[in-house]
Amino acid sequence: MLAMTTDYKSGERAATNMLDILIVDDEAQIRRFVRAGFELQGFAIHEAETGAAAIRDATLRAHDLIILDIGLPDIDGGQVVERVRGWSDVPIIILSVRSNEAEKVRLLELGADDYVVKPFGMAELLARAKAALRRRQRAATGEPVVHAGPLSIDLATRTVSLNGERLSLTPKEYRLLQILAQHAGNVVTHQHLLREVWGAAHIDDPHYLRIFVRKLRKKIEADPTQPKILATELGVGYRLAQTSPESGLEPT
Amino acid sequence: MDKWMLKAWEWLWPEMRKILSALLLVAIVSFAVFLLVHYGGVTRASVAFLLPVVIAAIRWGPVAAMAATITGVVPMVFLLYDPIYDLKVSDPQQVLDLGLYVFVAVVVSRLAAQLSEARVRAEANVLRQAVVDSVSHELRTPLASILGSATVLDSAEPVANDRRLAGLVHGIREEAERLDREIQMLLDASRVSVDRIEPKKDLADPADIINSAIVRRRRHISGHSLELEIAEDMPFVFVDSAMIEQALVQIVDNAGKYSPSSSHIRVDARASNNHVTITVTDQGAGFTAEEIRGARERFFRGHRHTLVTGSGLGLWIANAFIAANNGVLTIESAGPGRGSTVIMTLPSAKETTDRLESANARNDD
Repeated sequence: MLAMTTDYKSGERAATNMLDILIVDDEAQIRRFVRAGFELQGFAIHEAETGAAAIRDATLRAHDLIILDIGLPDIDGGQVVERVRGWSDVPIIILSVRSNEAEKVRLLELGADDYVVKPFGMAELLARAKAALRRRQRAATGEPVVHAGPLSIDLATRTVSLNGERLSLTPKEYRLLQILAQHAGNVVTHQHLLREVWGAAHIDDPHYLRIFVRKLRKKIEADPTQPKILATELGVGYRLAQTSPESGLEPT
Repeated sequence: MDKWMLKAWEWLWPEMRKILSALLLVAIVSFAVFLLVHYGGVTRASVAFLLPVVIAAIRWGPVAAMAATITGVVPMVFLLYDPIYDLKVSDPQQVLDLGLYVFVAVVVSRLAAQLSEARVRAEANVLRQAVVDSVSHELRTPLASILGSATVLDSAEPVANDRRLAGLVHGIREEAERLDREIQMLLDASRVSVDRIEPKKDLADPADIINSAIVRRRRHISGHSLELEIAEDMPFVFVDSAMIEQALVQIVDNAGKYSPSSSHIRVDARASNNHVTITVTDQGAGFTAEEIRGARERFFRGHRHTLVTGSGLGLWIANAFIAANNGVLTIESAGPGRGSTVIMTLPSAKETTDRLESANARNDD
């Protein structure tokens, strides 16, 4: 949390170092508790009720994070993501409903960073939001090492160590961990991983990935059948456990 | 008297209209056949009279189809059977022809009627699904606010520092989560009862499904001590993972509900030849032999469980979801009060898994 409030954007953010979050949901009660939850953590909150208002708001102000309900009354959530991605790489977290994996994947592929399923607890949303914010911060400061529990991935030297001991990985294994580490704490879709590790031709072969992950887990997990570092998001993708040096692994 | 007649008329008119429409159709076809016979020299066109029967059966139902069949006989004999333009049927060939016509007409109209019935039923299912979806949305939206607000309060200092308040907030959260589970149960039940569960099957690692189900329920059964053992390198299963996850969630919920808190719940997964079995064992109320027979039925509740609330849908849903994925649900128990073992058996895709594994070993880098 401490690192989060440091000023990583010059210019307009200089006056205040509160991070600014836009919450887009047509339900006033949802906006209200999300606002309270984030404000208690020292964030500044803006609200939008419709997709159109969200797009307008996002053009007027440089938010640090957008939380977007995908069941908006006016426009499709995917359209909002696409429009915002047209000019901004602000992290977007989606509020979705259960059992709609295809929809989640669609929005993640359009450029959203993560999702939580309604109904959700504030801790879960905060964890996702902080992971997304940390990723931006890492990009800005050039911090090369990502920690996930006992695992640390050094993106600069391209080395991975477990409990301080260097692991020997194949190039593809490293590539997979590298992508997950770049999104540490946030979900990465099967398609994204397949495209980045095996190339676009294998985008429809998620089975490759499942076998591959199983092998990789044997190298990095204490109990590969109950993974704590490389978690599965059923029907969507994988998530490298969020970590903060002081608290260790956070629940996913 | 007038009123009574009006009622009778209201009741009769729709049927009459259908029959009249069928008759009109027969008349049109007859006229067309007459033109063909009279000016075109056509002699064999009896199949044409099946046309009004089929149309009547699809559009107006069996009664209209029957009317079309019967009335179709007259112009058929009149126009097509030698000597034409009279109503005598003498030739055995003609009798056979006529008999076949009636037989085919009846069969076709029955089939067509079934088809339109199926269509009506499908429409009713779509409607029911729409109602269930909208109700669940209307219930879940306020629930999401309640649950979310409770979790914000939970972490707020004034609440966290006061045990009584913390207890209340905790209660709100627990109860809201329970409501959410019940709504999910209703949704699943409605999916099962429209008897069209369409699994979206894909290869899945059984360990992923189990871990996902356990993560979802870990908080809920935190009062119990959970023991989880998943065998390494199990073959993949070809299932709808979300559906199997949901079935397992129901089984685990059931184990938690009918066993005393702080007792053990054990989830164990292993592969045997061609199968993957997931076993959930508890130290709870168990089953009698009779209860085991009934437990997979809808609304089944053991008579002993008057203190535990429940809808009796859980194992019924689990059973239906597992069966839709070509699996089997079995229940074992040493008897009442001696715990239960619920076993989910799924066919494994062992050969595919082996093939993928060797392909992967080859392709790696």
